[in-house]
Amino acid sequence: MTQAPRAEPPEQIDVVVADDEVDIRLLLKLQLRQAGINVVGEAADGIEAIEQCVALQPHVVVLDLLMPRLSGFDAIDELKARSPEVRIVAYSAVAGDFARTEMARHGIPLRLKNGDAEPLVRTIRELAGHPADEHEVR
Amino acid sequence: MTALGPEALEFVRDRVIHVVGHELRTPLTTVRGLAELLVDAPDEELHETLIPALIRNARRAERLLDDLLIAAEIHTARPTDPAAPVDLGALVADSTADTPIAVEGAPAGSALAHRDAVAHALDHLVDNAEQYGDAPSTVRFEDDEGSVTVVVETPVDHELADLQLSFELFFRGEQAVTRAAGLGIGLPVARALAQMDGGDLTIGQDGDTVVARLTLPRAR
Repeated sequence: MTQAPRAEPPEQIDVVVADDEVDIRLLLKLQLRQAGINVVGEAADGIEAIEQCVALQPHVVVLDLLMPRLSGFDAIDELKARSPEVRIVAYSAVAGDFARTEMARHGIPLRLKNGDAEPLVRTIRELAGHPADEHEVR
Repeated sequence: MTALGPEALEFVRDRVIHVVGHELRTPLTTVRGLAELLVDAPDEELHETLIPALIRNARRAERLLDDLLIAAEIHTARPTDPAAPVDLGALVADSTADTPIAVEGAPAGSALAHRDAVAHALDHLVDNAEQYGDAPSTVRFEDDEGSVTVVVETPVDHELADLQLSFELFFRGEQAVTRAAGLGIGLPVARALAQMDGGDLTIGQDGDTVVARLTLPRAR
């Protein structure tokens, strides 16, 4: 089932970024900040992602799929169970059949890692309930 | 060598492209994204964060290319300068810096090898120990008359039935696209680098410990 956008759009979108690559986390923090999105937490694996979402209750978590200890694939069920209000966007370096099928099954949008942040920013805004054209992506 | 049929060849081709694409995308994404941010970066403080990250990721992409060339036994990847005495203790200290890996003792003599190639091989051994170990590894040295050996001992609490397959390129197969990322190229490359200098790399298991032994000729 596809994740519904949040019914009451927040004024400020809070995001947790989960990726085992420290430089990808740095890049996302800077790109999302430039787009006016607030990165409230970071996680280096699926276990930390679950902990951060439970503790910080962001509007959206950007979830890398391949991470040590607990992969993004394996974190999804627990994320949904323990933080049902947190919307998930999968963010992956490769979107093969396995990733596409799994994310479709979970109703989670899948965005390919790319230097261009716009598709990810747009998806985060949509999941948070913001109209697509409300903010300019610089 | 056993010839692969068309279906197997197609599977291998797809898998290689998939995992190489994955490993290249992270540094290239970072380089492009950070470079674009740099254009608009207003302050020098941000430059000091962005520029080292750019260099780090460009170097990572370059290292991946080196690995692929070495793994494919492309001769252009081989060093052109002669082997020289190499202080393995210093290289191990560099490779294990910023890791919880414990280094015990120091080698009695130098290896006769190519410094950059040995550093490259050690980096792969350390990366593997970090990624697959269930507790911090220990590094020690063994010397004999003709060789110097770096021994990396890594505790594991899971079954490693396919340990010898770790020298097969891309052997991680499906795990590389459904679990933690990784090319499955580090150990074959490390062994190729050791063999280029007349040495070798072996992997074995002693109870709950995986033992990697990187042996190189000893300098006279």
